Amino acid sequence: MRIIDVKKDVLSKNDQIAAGIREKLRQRGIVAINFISSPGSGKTTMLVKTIEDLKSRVPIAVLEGDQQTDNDARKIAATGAPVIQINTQSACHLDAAMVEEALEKLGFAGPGFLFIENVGNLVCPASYDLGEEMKVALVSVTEGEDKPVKYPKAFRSSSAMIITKTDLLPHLDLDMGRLLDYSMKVNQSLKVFHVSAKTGDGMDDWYDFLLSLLQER
Amino acid sequence: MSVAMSIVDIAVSRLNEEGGARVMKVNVTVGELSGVEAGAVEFCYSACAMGTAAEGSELVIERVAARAVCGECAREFKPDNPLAICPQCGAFGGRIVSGEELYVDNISVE
Repeated sequence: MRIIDVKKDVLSKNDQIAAGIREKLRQRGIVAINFISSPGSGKTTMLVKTIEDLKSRVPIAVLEGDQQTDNDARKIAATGAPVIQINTQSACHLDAAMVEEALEKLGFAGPGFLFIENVGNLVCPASYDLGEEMKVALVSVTEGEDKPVKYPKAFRSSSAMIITKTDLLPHLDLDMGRLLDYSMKVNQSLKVFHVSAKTGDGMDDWYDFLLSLLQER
Repeated sequence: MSVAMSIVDIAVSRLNEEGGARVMKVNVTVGELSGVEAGAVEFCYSACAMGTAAEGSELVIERVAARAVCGECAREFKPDNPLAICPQCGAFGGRIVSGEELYVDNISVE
């Protein structure tokens, strides 16, 4: 028996594929955003609203990740945006190989936005690079103040945090100061948005941010 | 599950590079903050290795404890809360120096 040195990162294959995706997307002028959150934080609603409001100005395509069903993809398709549903079956997250395959089917030439809606889960999606420009974590006001400290990796690997469903705040005892304090302690550079996709409140800040990413290209 | 599959893939492709009949043992380093539950990987490993040149091999996981260094007072400490608050000066956001590892260290082949 002999020992062979390996010293290889377990996720190196994923990271390699992700680097290839990132390169390709950049060449086409596509800004890819990877949405991560708990189930039910409002990722799909946020996307539908964003597409409806921006589609006349910028081409937008979507990859939808879920373990089962194409319910979310159908909601996106209703906006007219091209969408591919990825069913991960037993897996709790999207990985770069799934995204690479779905991108081929999608055939989105760019330039524009590619939104990747990850599987609703704040654990594993934080560890997988999908070749995105940035991860954006969503947390709804009904989830309490401590999601950032319970799942620090998700908020540390994200560049922005969207606090959703703010129209519900009058009915809740959420301590917003604490939620913001926790998120800043986990990631000082996190950019924060307060939105209600239902009333449209705060959506303009989010759009300005998105459009500025596209202009940086 | 996908982590266990990646470990098997890495081990088998290294075996093929170096030449050998089969993988007997795989040493993996898993940090406490890697987001990977070592017990879950151990549980999935033998099933993932089935039907490959690593079938029946032993998986040995070395766990690495989380350590952080305070940005204010430079004290090294165990970040036992997600905010990595320094026990000496109370500053938060210590720089993580170990515990995020997740790699295949070496393999034993025959």
